[in-house]
Amino acid sequence: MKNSFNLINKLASFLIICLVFASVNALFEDQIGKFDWRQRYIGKIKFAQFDPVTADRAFVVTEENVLATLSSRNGDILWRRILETDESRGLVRFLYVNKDSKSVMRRTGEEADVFEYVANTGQQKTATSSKITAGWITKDKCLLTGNSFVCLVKDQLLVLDLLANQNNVRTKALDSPANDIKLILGQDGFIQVGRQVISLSDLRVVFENRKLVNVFMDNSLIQLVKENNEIKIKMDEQELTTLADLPETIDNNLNILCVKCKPKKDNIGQLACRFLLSTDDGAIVLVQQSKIKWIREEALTRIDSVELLDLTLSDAQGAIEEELNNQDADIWSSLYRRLHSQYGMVKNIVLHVLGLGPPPSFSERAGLVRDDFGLHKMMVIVTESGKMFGIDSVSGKQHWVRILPNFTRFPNDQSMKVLVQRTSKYYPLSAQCAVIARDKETGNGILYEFNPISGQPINGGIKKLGYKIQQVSLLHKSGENFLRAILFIDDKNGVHVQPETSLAMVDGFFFYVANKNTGDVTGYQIQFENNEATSLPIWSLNLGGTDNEQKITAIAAKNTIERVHSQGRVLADRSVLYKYINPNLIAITTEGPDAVHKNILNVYLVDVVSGSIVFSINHRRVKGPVKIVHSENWLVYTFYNEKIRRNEITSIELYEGKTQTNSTVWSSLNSTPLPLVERQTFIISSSVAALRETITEKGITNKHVLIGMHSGAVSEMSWALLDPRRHSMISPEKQREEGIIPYIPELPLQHESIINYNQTVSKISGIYTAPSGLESTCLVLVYGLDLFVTRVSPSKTFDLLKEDFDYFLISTVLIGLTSASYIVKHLAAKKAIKQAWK
Amino acid sequence: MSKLSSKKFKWNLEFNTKSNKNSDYASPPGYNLSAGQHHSEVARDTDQSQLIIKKSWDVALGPVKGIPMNLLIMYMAGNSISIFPIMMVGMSLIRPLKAIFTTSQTFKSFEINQNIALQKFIFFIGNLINIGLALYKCHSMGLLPTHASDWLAFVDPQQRIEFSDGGISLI
Repeated sequence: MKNSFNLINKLASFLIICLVFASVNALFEDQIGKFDWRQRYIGKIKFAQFDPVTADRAFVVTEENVLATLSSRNGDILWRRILETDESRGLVRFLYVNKDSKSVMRRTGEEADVFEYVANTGQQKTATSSKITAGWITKDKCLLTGNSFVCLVKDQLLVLDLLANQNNVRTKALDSPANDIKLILGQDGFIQVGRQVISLSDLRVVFENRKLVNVFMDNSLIQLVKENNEIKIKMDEQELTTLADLPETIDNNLNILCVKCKPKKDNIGQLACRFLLSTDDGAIVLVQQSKIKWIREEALTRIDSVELLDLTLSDAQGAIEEELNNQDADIWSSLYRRLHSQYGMVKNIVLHVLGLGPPPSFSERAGLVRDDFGLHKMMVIVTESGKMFGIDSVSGKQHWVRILPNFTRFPNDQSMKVLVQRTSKYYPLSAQCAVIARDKETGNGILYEFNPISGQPINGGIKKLGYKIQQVSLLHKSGENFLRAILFIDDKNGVHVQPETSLAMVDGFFFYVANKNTGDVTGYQIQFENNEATSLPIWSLNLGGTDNEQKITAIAAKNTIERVHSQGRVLADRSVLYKYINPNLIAITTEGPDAVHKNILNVYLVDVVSGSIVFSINHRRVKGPVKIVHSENWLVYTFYNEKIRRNEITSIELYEGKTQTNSTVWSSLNSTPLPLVERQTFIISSSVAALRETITEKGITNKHVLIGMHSGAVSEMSWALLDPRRHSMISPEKQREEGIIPYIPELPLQHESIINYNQTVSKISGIYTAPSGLESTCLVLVYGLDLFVTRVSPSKTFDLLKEDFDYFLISTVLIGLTSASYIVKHLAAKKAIKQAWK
Repeated sequence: MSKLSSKKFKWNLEFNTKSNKNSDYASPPGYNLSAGQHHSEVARDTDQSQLIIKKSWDVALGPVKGIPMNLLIMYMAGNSISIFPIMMVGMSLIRPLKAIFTTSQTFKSFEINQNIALQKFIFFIGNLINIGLALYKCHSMGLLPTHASDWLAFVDPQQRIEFSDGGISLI
């Protein structure tokens, strides 16, 4: 009896799950690439080598541990192998291309594994690697060049021939002690030890006292020399190539990666060379005959922060906007303005038709004009190397690139900040953004204000601040010209505001600073008195535990542009469970070792205005990295359960209860009762690399959670599946009435819900979501080694006609029916007259 | 019967010739043929208006009399929302409403030198009760926005008073 009951239960839950998944919107085959795109990257190059036979391609190994082949013609990736980035084992230390260019070798790890790859396809030749193990092999003092494996042991150079039958070890004593051993690119059998260049074939010192040897070829050195504004590449004293005008978009600190030369046909004695260069900001440049053939922007593999912005209005739309803006004028002047603007429009149309119209503005020329649905946006991307990009969200084109010298990340693994001071909404005024970073040289704060659409600097661009930044924030109110000021807290808790005219607005603003290592969190309030703003500490918490062994690993606040449409949740008895939507709530996770439970993960929900801990939860024998999403009244985070060895995902929801304490205003300082907490943990079958919630303009659309997995897939998880009310405490009937799926521990990761279908995004490091002009649609950027941009519509596109909507059929039927009814009416009248005459 | 037979139609063939003969039989003892006729004639003579009032009361009490039947139908229809219960509820709402608006027309024929305000009032009350029943039915079917959840979509988000921000120290 019990068994059959169970069976029925399972069947019912299966049916509900089927219903849920029937609503999941998968992509149709003809929609592939319609509104998504992917760009593949390889990362900053460590080693490179041209194909010894043709030089049509270059084999490269990058800092992201990617082995790839680039086409010399256009820089396309011919093949790419993404290798694991395990410090102890997987890192590629050497790349060697065989003379016949049939195979590529790489060496990894400490004990010199040598792998061989097929040069054309990138497939590994043999399943196993050939391994060299010896006591004297150390991590940084060994090299593989050609067939020789060279190690620096104290003052001796040990050379091991890999292709020799027996381990033929040769040694050479060095004249002067040296610490580092370096490869010389371009020619096998030569290495640099200290300041000497040594030939391995006869262990002879070829050059003495060379500071830095770039590339060595045909027994001569190739060097890159900067002269005035020109960059010259010289072989010994012979000049090979001159680069006169380097584009502004690349750093002028170039390094030669590899060279391939052949004698010119017409001019004997001269060489025609092809150079692969890299810059400090990660760009790869191919130079041929004094010209840059192509540039690859590999800085985009390490994205630090992203912001998506609306484009500006077109001139015509702007004129309408301007007309509507002047509401305080009297009726006659507004009538005059209306007539005037319409006259202008007519004139523009006539001129446009005649081809005499005004030249299109910059944004119109570049196609950077807002579309009807706000789906076309500008992505402002700041990378770790301090290079900034403005990328089109529809085409993926880089509209502008800018190098921010000396901009670097903050300590404590904190990213540079991109703040939107003014959006594109205020028409005649352009949008304004600011990048805030740390100065590489002084460690002080550094600020760059710019127009995100054109990439042009505003107010002179880079501003060096005279203090270290402890905390930075965008003010909630906009000041002069709708510009939101930036608040800086310096290392002595001093308050600074940029621009300074908005200083008075900081009064009453709360902020908190968390110390990652000690677990201290301190809350401050800013007071503005006598034209001076000061910060006053008002609360402090220590989440470090005894001996400060708990370290803060993540802080998750809510998205500041988020709006919550529904204030509660309807229960089965048609009453309302009101959501606990505290805008000042943050989630803090701490991780640390424990004597009994090995690792402990704590999650605290803290109100940062009052400093009260609203809720805390403790997971034992659990390991990070914790990925966390905090939105509306819920929190979702993932971790690795060491006890059961699986990945788990926990969701927490907070409710005020069946009544709202204050339905009009929210104040954290009023003693609101503690919220009701619902929580549930699920098993997720894949390890999670990134988590993010979808966001829409008005918050009416359901929220889905985007899960970026280490496999490179991004799955869209419906909130109904993560719902913590999916537990056994509620009776099945009530659950069914509320639309809750009965609890099943495993979360299904359906193939239909993977938003990037087969467009794998390797090494996902983050997901960014932004609302579009359509309420149903949310724009998603997934970044990692690759970039992937798409749209998701969690509640389907309810505000949009389908793409295959048959306009033709509908209009034909409408027109046909209308005309038919007129004809019939006419005929009927005729007939009636005829009848009357009878 | 007597009236019908008295009329002479153009094409009237009487095949049942026996029926007429019935009257030829003598009446049973104690049966007075004229007794009933006499009585009715007396009543008609006493008051014509009495009948009108009675009739008007019949009409006035009609809605009230329909209540038990309505209740039974409503009970049988159940609370599920499907086409038949909806139609039924719709009808039971619309009918009394219509009746209320056409009260004066309904009672027009009885209004000849009579004061029938009370009847009208009772008719009105009866219809109101019917409307109430229909509304109760709507309520129990969940069609009326009587719960807090029905107004949830119109609840504005709370305005925040304090503004805050922060994060991990950038030093």
